[in-house]
Amino acid sequence: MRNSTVNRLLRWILFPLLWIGVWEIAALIVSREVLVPTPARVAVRLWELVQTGRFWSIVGSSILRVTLGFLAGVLLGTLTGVLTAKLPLSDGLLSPLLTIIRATPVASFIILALVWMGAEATPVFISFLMVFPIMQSHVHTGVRAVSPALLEMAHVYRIPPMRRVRALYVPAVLPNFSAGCRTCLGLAWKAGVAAEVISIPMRSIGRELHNSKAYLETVDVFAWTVTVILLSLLIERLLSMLLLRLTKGGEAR
Amino acid sequence: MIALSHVTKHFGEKAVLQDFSLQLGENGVTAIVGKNGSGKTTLLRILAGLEKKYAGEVSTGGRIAYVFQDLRLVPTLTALENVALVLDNTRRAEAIRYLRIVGLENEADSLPGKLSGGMQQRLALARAFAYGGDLLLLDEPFSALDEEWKQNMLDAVRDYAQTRPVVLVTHDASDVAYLNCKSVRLD
Repeated sequence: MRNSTVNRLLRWILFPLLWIGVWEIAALIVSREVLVPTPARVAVRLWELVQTGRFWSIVGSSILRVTLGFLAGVLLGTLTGVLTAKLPLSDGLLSPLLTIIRATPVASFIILALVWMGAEATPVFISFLMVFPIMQSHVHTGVRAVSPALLEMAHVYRIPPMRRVRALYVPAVLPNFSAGCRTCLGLAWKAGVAAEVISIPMRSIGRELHNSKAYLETVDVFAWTVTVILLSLLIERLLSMLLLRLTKGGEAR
Repeated sequence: MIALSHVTKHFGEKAVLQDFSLQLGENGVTAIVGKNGSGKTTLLRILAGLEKKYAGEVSTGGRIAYVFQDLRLVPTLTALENVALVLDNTRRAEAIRYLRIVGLENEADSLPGKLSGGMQQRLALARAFAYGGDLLLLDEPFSALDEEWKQNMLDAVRDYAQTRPVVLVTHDASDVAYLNCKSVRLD
């Protein structure tokens, strides 16, 4: 067997199985389902859940909220990143706001958002808030990385603005943009679900986690948490494929 | 008329150009020679409008093609795209013609990083020829070329200079002799 096959087998099957084994042993030692249910029990519960229409409706609603917040954060963060990189005054103006967003505990924002905009919009806003400053920072750095020498060349040859963007800015910003998106997706997903747990909107994974905890249904807490992890991995994979196509497209242009 | 009149340029305390005047004709090559740090590149940058703070009068106007000493090719674009980048949309198909002039038609799809130093220099020349400005600025454009290509490119520059002025910065006296052109020494 080739080395890469062995590595893949270890990474994707044997190591996860090892950790599931550790979980099984921990559950056996504790031996109280209300504290740590066994992996088999969680798997059975998850199987029960996925066979209901309600599960998919809840999952769909949570994905929609996080995706909306993520996309809004990517869009506004990218535009702001370009603006702050090109206009030093706007950088100075927005810098305190961005510092406050980065430094404020997410729980404070969740409570404030709940007061300001209600349960449905809070997870969207919180996902947005996690993504926005990171994308701004990544895109800002990417725009600033464009070679001043090439910009002088473009100035001398009077290259039109849109062509300048495609030829000089896009290749410089794209790697930072991709890295920012990858970092932000996981954060948006985790913060979005945390916001759902506190704001408990209708049809949400957060509401299910909140209710399961309230009724001490730890098996359900684990089953929904596994759902969040699997969805996060799946969406991250899809985004990676999309970004890879985008990056290759940028290079091939 | 392209002219510099009593131009003085300082970098900090140091004056790199001191009360310098130059008038270019309607066509022909003007060679700028001089030792390192004598202000040759600064002079080209002033003509290209890249240096703003100086004393004196400069009149250029029109479009300027510039072969930079460090070439400034876009590393993510192919050779063909680097040339097409400076062409109007209506003329983009002509890019290959200019690659042919510098002998790079078989490298059209190569990225600059995959080309030798001499090839990169020829590509920068192709981009400048393609742009076809009212003034051509050349900053040591033959330094990495072998003898055969250097002669070809000197001939191309001489042809180009029949219809518009060219300013050539060079360290090589044989370039000036071959072109049989006016030369200005900076000290």
